[in-house]
Amino acid sequence: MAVATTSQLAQRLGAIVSARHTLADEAARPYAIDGLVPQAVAFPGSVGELCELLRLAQQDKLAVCPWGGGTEISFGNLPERLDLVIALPRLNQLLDHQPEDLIATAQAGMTLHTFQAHLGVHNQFLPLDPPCPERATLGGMAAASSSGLLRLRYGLPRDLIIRMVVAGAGGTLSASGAKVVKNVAGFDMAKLYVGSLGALGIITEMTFRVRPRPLARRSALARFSQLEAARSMALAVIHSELLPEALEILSPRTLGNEAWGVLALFGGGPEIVAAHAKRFIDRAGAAGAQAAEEVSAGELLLEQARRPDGGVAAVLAQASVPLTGVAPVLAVAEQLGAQQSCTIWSAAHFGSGAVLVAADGPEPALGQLLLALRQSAVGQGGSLVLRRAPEGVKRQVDVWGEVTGGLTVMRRLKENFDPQRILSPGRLAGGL
Amino acid sequence: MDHTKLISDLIRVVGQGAVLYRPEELLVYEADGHTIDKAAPRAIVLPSSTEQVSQVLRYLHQTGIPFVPRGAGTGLSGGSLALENGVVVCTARMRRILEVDIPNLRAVVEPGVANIRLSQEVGHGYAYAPDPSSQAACSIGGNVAENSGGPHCLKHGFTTNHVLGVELVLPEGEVVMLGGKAEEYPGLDLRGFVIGSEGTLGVVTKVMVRLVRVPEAVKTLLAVFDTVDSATRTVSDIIAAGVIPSALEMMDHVVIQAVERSPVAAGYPLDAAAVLLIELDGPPEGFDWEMAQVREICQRHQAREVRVAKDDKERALLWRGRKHAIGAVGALATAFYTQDGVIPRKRLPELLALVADVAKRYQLTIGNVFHAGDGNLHPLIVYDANDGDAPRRVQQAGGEIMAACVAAGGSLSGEHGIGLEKREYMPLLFSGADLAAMAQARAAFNPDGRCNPGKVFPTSTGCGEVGAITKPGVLPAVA
Repeated sequence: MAVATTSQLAQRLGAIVSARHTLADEAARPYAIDGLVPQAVAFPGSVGELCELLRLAQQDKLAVCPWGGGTEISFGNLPERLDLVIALPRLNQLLDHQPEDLIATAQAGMTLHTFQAHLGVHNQFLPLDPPCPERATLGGMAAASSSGLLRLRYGLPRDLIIRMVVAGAGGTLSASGAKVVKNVAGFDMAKLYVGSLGALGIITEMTFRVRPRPLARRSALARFSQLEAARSMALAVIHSELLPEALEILSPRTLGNEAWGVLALFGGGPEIVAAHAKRFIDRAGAAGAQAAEEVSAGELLLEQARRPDGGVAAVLAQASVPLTGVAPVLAVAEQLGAQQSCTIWSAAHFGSGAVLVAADGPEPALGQLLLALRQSAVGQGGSLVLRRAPEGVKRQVDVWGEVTGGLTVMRRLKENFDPQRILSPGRLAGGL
Repeated sequence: MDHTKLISDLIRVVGQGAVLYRPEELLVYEADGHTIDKAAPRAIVLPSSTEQVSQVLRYLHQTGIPFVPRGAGTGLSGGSLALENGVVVCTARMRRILEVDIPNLRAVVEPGVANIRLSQEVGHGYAYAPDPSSQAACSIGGNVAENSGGPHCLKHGFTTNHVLGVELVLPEGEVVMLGGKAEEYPGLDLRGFVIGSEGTLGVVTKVMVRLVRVPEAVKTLLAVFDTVDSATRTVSDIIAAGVIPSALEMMDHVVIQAVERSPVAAGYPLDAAAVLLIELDGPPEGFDWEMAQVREICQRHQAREVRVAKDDKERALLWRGRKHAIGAVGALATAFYTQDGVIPRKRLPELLALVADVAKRYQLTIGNVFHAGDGNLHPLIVYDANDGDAPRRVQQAGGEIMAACVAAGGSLSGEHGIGLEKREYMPLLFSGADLAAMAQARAAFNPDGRCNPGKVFPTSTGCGEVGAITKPGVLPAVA
């Protein structure tokens, strides 16, 4: 696009959100997605402004991507086109919190950290813990379906969002759900928008089911010399009477140790938590653990389980498999790392069947590794997606892999909701 | 199309014994658990495999005939009625449990499997969590269509949280697998969208469910109150205190009387204004704290008595009254109608006062037995079917209660669905743009609208103009 066009666009955006809340040209560079720099970035200060921006985008057929905190912006196929980034940090209001009803409503641009602070006043929390809560926004978390360790006990974003308001392609707002914990009136539209990376619309507001904070929390770590022993321990815990909030397997490199770790987080009444942590340690002893103990610096270990590489590796892949597939995928990741001379950090949210594999190495080797790892996950009845990868790797390896069911319906949904293909074009699975 | 040809064509696909078409056979399928409305189907098809369902739907697609999926027919919103003289595709004969995969905590079942049978057959300390009150009869396929809950969904979640995969036959006959044994798959979450779509997107032919471990221990309490108000305030305070019971059910005076005078008497005090059935589950180490909280809150609201079930036998007795409450109330008169609305929990006292007022104004008896912990009301309106004016009053009373639920910030339905029963009320809760987005999504699955026509969306608004808003106060009567 010619420079004149860009500045013209910036002017028109400025008329909607004011020039102060518009970036163009060089200033838009930090908002590049997979290396593609948008012509401009606009920061709407109200839902009305956001809808105006979408109307403008529709008139001019501008390709639009929403931007929350940017923590997951690398998730998605290379964009087909990118003209305008609509950044949501100014839509950050808490709209409603009903502590006695365990529900809270906020605008999509609020950070998870701020939302938790509001809920914390009433000793409640949103049981979702994706990485980087200080920057990650509620809307971004929903659009990228990000989760953390707590999903074992409380579920994924899709399980906790009970109402959603979305601005569609032409800037039309539509809502689904209700601000009550139980409701079956109308279709559950939020299920389509969660994980859609903005391909069907931009989420503006959500109501979540929240929880009372556990009265107590303890974490315990057991170390095993072999993955097989760690797997067997973790599986036994899942099938036991113990009720951890999270149950992780950490690879030796992630743990910074020679051993495989099984990390459990217990939350609830102090008596339960103490009893369960103790039983976990006893079981680990009986299962041949090198060491098993309560860990006081549990938060650090939990963070390692969320981000095994601390965010430094070039690639972060996430496999989703049935429980029995977790250990095989972890084992294959280690083997492939050795074969391809790549550095591998891995961790699994064991009870949820989610395996995180971070990898560093030359791009062609990473590509080979990811293709083989995907084959392993698919062989286990699951799938593997790239949550983060350089463009070079994305050119070698499809971010999503094969969509096994319903691609025809997904395409029709995209056509019905975004006939001009201006919402995050190309980023979603199946090239949507 | 020629009826005789239709029948013989369908028989060619599914076999002689799997097509019902004689008037006396069709009678059973004219209604479901929502008995107020009836619609005559053209024929009933009872396929026994995914392949047969697919062939039937392909045939109906080619011939342009509408159809409606049906499970056990226990639905309470008329969702399985064959409007537009459609064909009923009933999955009752697809009732195999295909796989129980304990290591992965999964089971794969056909849609006709009765809800209760799944947990019974899995056994060994594992269960399928959602337990709608009709669980002895209702099918898993029906549960998927309605996103069913049940008394224990307060803590353990709804169908959508426990169904990870569905095999769906699209209205044009294509078979798609959405989701699977793993928790997430690439692409849009069509699985989640199909759950609760009331059979308007296709026919579910296979369901992959999550199994959970049965709780280590359970405690059941009965709290007895002299006013409805104090019982409802207790409900709000229990949740606000951070205790999440696995069930929190309320029955009022009308219901208590009906239960205690029936063969299923559970020992509820006859003169009580309301009782709460409170169930806690989990590790026994946690009970002391939770029980102390619950007792303290009950006492704060002047509970007359808090009775704790000493053993499984006493627990079953306390639940017996709840589980048979609707039947017991139904026996009070010749006909009854169950409403299903949801409100924020803290609005319970005023909504129950409104229900009492409505009962007085319309000269109806209304009992309340409901999932108080979720704010999910079930006013049971009993009436004399021989009183010519009663159905009109029942409809109006029901409509008024529903409108009040929405006005209080709630919803039209907590678990029965919209179906045919409540479609005209949808504009109370949703704008034209909201409904238009839903219709667009439906069209991606069901482009020509032949799959379960006439459900969920208001008829006052055709596809082109899903914009008209019905204002509260001029509610259309649901015929």
